[in-house]
Amino acid sequence: MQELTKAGSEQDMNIPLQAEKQATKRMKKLRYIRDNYFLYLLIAPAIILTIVFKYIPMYGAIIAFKDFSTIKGILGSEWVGFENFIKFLSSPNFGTIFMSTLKLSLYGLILGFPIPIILALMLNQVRRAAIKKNIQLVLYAPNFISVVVIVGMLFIFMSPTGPINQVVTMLTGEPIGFLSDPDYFRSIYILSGIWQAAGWSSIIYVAALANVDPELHNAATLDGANIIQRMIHIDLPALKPLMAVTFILGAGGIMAIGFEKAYLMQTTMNLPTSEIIPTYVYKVGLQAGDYAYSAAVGLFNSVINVILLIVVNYIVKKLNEGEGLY
Amino acid sequence: MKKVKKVVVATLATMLIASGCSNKSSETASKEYNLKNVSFPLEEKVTLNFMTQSSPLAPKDPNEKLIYQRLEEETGVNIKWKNYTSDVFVEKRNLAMASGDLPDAILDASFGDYDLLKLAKDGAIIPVEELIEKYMPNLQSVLQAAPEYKAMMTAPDGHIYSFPWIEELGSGKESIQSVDDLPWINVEWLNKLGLEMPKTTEELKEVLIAFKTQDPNGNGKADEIPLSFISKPGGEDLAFMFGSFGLGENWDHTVVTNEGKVTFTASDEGYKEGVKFFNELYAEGLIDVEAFEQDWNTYIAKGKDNRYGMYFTWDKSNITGMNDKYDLMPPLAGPDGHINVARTNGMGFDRGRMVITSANKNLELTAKWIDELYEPIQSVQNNWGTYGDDKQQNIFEYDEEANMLKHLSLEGAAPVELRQKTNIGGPLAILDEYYGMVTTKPADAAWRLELLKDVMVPHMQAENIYPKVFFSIEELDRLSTIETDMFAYVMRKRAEWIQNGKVEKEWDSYLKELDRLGLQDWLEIKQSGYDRNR
Amino acid sequence: MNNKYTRMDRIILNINNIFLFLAVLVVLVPLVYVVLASFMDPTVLLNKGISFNLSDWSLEGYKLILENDAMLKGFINSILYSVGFAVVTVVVSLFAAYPLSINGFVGKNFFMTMFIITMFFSGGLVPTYLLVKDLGMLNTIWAIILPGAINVWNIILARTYFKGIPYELHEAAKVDGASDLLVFFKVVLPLSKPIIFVLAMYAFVGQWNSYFDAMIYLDNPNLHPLQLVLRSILIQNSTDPGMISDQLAMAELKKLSEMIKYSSIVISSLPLIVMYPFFQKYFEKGVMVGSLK
Repeated sequence: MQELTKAGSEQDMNIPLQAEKQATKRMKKLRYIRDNYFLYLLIAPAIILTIVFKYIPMYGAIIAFKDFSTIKGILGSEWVGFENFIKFLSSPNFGTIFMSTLKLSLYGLILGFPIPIILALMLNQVRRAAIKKNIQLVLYAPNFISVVVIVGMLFIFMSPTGPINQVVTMLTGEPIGFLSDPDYFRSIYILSGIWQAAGWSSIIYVAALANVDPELHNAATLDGANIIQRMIHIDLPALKPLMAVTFILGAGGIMAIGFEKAYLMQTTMNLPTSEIIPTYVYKVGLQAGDYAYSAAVGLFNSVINVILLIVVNYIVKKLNEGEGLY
Repeated sequence: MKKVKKVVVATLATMLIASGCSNKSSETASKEYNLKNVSFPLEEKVTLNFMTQSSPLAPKDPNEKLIYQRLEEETGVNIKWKNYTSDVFVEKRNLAMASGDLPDAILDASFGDYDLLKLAKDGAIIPVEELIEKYMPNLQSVLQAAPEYKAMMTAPDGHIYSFPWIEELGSGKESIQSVDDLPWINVEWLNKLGLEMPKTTEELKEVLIAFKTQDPNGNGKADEIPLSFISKPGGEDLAFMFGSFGLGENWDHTVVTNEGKVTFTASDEGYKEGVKFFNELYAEGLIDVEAFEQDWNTYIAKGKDNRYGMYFTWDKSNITGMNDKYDLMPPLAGPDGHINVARTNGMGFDRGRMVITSANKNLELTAKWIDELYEPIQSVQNNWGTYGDDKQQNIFEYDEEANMLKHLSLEGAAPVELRQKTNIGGPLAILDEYYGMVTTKPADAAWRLELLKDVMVPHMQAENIYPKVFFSIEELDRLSTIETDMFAYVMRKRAEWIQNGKVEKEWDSYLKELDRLGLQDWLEIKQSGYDRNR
Repeated sequence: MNNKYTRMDRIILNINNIFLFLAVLVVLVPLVYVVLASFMDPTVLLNKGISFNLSDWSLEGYKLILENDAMLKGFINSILYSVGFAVVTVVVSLFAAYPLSINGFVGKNFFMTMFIITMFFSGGLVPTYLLVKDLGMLNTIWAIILPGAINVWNIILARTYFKGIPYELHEAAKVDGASDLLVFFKVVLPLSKPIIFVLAMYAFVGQWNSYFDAMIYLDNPNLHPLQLVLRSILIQNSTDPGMISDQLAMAELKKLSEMIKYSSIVISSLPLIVMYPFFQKYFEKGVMVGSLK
């Protein structure tokens, strides 16, 4: 980026001089590569794998613009332009479904982001290693439970006659329709997601905190700082780079929310909030294994995600002294 | 941004190069055997490659099933199977098609109408009507005996693209599928409380109230659930009850009046009255609070515990057992004395059961092999199971004199496991006239047919059901888009109204919303489909 | 360590511990439910909930799974796949992340863009399947390990971690005459134990719990991992109201799947929960202490 601005401001200068500067830059770059060939060797496996397994199949993305025929294959199929996109965008409930998706993902991100961090900070304060180990074990366990079972458990716990509603009925006389009321869908979806994943997600933060020099804490304590102050001034800064990256990537994944959990949690009555893009596409496309349609929707989502990523990255960089994804 | 441009260019270049590389091989179909005037058994054994699916309970190689072994002996054709379990089959099948790995044929293909038409259009599967005419006498006799199926097998463009599964159990109004959600009432409790079987909706309401308040199970707790159901289209829904108020309701919301008009059940005045009635029941606390969210397992569990006063299902033995505690409740007369049993549009007919792919080079051979499956005694076995197996339990015993396969009692073995381990499904035809000639009715089906005939058939007012119309691709597309949203909306509003009683107030805006979601188009398409089919 | 706690500190610590305790409770209760439920007769479970009446207990759920011969094979396959996958993806990610973490690395933005684009745009299932097929990797362990080994998120996490290692350590080593290679292997990697094990765990667990890739690429049932085996025992289908014999089939299968629901979780998570404590020690504090000295 910086090189670009420099070049721009020198537009009015001597052309030969500018060309010479470019040549020198290139020379420098080549020399760097030659001197540091080891670094390029290191990154080579990743590059090769990426090209082979991600870029070569990428031509398949154009299936979104085609009327996919199994015999003709992706390349031979008829080009239909934006037909699939229009079909999607003009579905009668598109607006509702889009907003449901956005809200579910966004609230999930905002609520789910701080919790693993807080957990890591709290765990960090536990002195006795044995206790800490056991707490961690318990907190990580829900991650291993499949979505199907989690939803099954939700239906049992939250049913009008289940344990939670038994308490509610005692207090208010009436059970709450957690599973049928559209207003509760999001909260239950997100909270159960946090229940399942927060512990596991905190691992990465715990690992980062493990690198904090205990000397820093000792010094701070001697200076009279209490735990909270130490957390804010020592631990948090250590986590900042990780937090920034996680948040940006999370924002860039908002439209990529999975289909399975919402689909399992749908009941006849909570559809106004539980029908999200992936579940809708699954139902409509279920008719025919319509790859093209779901690819078009996927592309639509990806474009939105990229935009979100760029925007959020920009914002975070501003707040985080220029440190973002790039 | 320069960097991004560089990357994009590099990417496009790679893609262009790579796209030249992907090839299509259709090596999975077997080679051409050049067999003409095929008659079985063949002199030399040949192999055909088929794809199929089966339940995880069944053997991994279908050739371990006795039926296929016998078929191989009779025909001299060895089938090499690509067998997938049902949970992964659809994905695998689609991938195979998409990657050009076409087998000779797919048996138990589970292709919906849309799939069939699309694949036909793409040229992945071939039309078979000529094959039927030239090489398939068994199937032809089936169609002669029951010509209505020919129209159902034929696509809008006049071709036939698949071989169907036909299983008749009863016919017309007496067909076993005509009512799926039968109402079962707890007669034990009725007797205990000295009540009579209700004959009108009002009487039912009183009976349910009595169930709730008079503690018929005698345990001192008011834990009886007077009425339960699963609020989803299907055999556990309370759709049956709408019959007392008008045209009635079924799982695809489609009823044909006796004047030949296709009607959407959920916009009918009678439907509204029915919903009002259910709301009354709800207000009295007579409906299972879990009815709107529970799944099959919860429903069954409570049923096994005999907690229901009344519930709905296909066959009571699944839920409360084959005993005298519960009995079928005859249809009730509504507020104006109207009695009706709405018929479902279900039929023992599966269009896309088997297809022949365009990679098949041995059409005569394949067609004749498939025709074996339509031979009456073979069809019967393929559907249910076999006889004379000394390694495991048999579904049938073979009566040599009468050339009949008689159903054996299962003696407590799990019918499902046994059937899935031994039957093969696939394309076949079992016509009503086969019973008593070639085979006997399975015990559970016979019982249910009797019940339907006695209790339900006399009250079925509709002379016609909506047939299995074969729509065009555009029509299917439009129908599926409309139905995804519209049906979900209908079920949601119904659930809401049963609980909050606002049906009268919201009825007009409900109708408007139905129109917005495409109801008029839906009616038009379905009506023209019906008219085409007569 | 003789830290003198202020009174404020003690209060905060107590609150901290209370919250942690509550968190553990909230998480634990449903987990206990899962374990208890795995021993119960599903009908009883759905009607009365957990009952401690021994007659309501049943080992059917476990029997159905453990007596299935595909299970042992599935188990072994899962271990193979998960270990193989973890090794490959961690190595690839670390090797890619290190250069990206170096300031002044020529091509950094180019490579980053290249990676990040793949997070958003992909060819989809069919072309990837065709590629794997054309490379002859179908029905081999490579179909499971290679395509997924590129995980950009992991690369970014590792890069963030590497950036956090103070540059003075690099300089100190270079001053002593170490080459890039040595710096990486002798200085940076040893300090990266936390991230290595986090990535390894994430990768191992992710692979252990997954079934989709195996479902698509591995036709041969002998190669199926545990989750796929469990899944086929646990089918969930919806009935077509028009078909008769399927009604009974559905009822039976659903009963089976209910029984297996909980016991399958216990069985498949057991190994992971047992292994975790061994990896724990790498998260202990002070890994970098002393390195500056």
